[in-house]
Amino acid sequence: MTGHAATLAELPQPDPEAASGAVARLRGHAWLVGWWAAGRAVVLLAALAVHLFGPRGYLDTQVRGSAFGLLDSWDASWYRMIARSGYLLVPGRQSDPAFFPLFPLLLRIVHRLGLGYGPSGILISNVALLVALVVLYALTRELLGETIARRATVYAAIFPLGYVFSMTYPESLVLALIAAAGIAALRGRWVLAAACAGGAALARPEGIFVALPLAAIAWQQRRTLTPAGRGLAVGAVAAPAAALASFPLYLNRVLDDPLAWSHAEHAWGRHFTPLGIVDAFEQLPAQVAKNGWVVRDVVFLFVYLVLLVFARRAGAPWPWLAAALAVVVLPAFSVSFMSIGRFGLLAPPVFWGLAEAGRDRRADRAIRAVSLALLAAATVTVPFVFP
Amino acid sequence: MRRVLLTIAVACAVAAGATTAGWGLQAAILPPPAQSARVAANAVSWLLRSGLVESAYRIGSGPVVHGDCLQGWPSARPRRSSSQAAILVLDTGGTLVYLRPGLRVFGAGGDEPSPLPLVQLELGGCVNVVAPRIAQVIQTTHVRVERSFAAGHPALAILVPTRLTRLTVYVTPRTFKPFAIGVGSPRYSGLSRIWLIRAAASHPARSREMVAE
Repeated sequence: MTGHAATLAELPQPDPEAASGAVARLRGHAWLVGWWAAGRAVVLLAALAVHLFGPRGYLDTQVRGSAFGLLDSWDASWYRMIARSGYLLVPGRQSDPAFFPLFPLLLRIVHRLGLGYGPSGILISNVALLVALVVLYALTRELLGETIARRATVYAAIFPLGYVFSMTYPESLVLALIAAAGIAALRGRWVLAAACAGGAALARPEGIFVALPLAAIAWQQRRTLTPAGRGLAVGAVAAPAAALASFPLYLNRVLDDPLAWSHAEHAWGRHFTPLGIVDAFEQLPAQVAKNGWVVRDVVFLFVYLVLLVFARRAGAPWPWLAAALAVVVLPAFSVSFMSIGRFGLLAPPVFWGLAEAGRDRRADRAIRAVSLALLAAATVTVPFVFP
Repeated sequence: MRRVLLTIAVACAVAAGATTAGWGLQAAILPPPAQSARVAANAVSWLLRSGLVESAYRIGSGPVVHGDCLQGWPSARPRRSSSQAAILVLDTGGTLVYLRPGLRVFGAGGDEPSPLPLVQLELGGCVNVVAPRIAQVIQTTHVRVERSFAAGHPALAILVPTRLTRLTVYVTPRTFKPFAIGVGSPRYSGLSRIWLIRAAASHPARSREMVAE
């Protein structure tokens, strides 16, 4: 008996200080969880309202059949298709190798736990958004200070196009991985930075641009790093490209075609040319005539550019701005403005710029109110236009 | 020098680790595509690479009809719609013109689609008719492929149920190249032998000739 007591006493006891620190940290993030919950409540309620009262738009009966089917529509079917049946290039048609593997991979893992593909996708996206907000806050606080960090995080949680963060889409996951890679690099945790940066590139092609800020951080830390540490930092900078290379290698294995992604993108009408953005503006009237919703993406392109100027004013580092500019502008070189509004969600400086614009108390309140209203309205547009 | 080499070695190891981990995750977790779907996708690929399909078909107990089916349309219509057209010229003197979207078939006694011209276009191996049907089945349902025998050769039969007809595309077991087509509908059924001719530079001129004929 005494022996047992002695053994128990030797076991490591929970550190009350560490436990209270974790609770304090959690309490410290309560505001963040609250804004995440508020933003998601708006999206989920709007989705539920569409399910109950319409509009129906282009959504098929299967999507309309479930309460939150709206959030599992459009490209969600491609991610589900990959998770369920793997990649397959169907020549001459839009097919799933156009979509990157990390999100369907997670979809398949969560599905194996017993959840349907639709709920799995929505669950992953919403949880990933909470993680994204935590790491975005940490990154922004490190770079631009507490007040900007708080506002940027709140604005990200309720951003008008942020309904995508709740859909079976990888955007929230990629934002989380990009911000996590940045904060890990700033804290000198280069292996973690490499893993997050690689993950971001495997989830969406825009993830590769996180290499720019990582390279700048590695350069700043070069004098304090050991030779091995420098190697880790350089490796983390190369990780997005290296991880990205695994995708064509995998496609070559299963489809005997390492360029299947490129072929699939072509069927989607996206092909990059040096003067693509000029052609995109030339073809804009025709695009608007065909699908008026493209105006929304053009508006967001300009809004993002203005926000990047604001982000610079707030003191955002140039490499982050360059990466954001690439994320926002490069898609237009594929002779299309479609979905630029959604792509911009992957650029943390967009939220930093908005936080700078909301420096004034009244502006801050206005941004919050307008964002929440637009978030609800934008969610209701999903039946009519893909994000 | 040793310090630089160490830096390079560690960087390469991290990059290699990222590639290997990415590849490993995909290979371990994502399922490979079903073999039947790959066979069907390869058949679509063969069809799309051909500009002209020559065919010999018989509907029911009727005579053998020879046809040439060309992809595209030679007019100055918008590129998208012209590339989705098909012209089937028959040795019986008839010409069927198929324009997507809208499934209009001209030259068959009216503009409305009916099973007979569709059956003829499918038996003629018209790429813009047959390929989208196979692709649709691959992406929406589980495509069925069976071992079979057609035109005196062993084959894999790709079963493509559509709204108006039951289409079966027979491909060679090794290369998956389509070489025969079977079509069934409540009123008509037939079998054809097809020969895929690669798209050529003379394609537009040939199509003008065919339409003129």
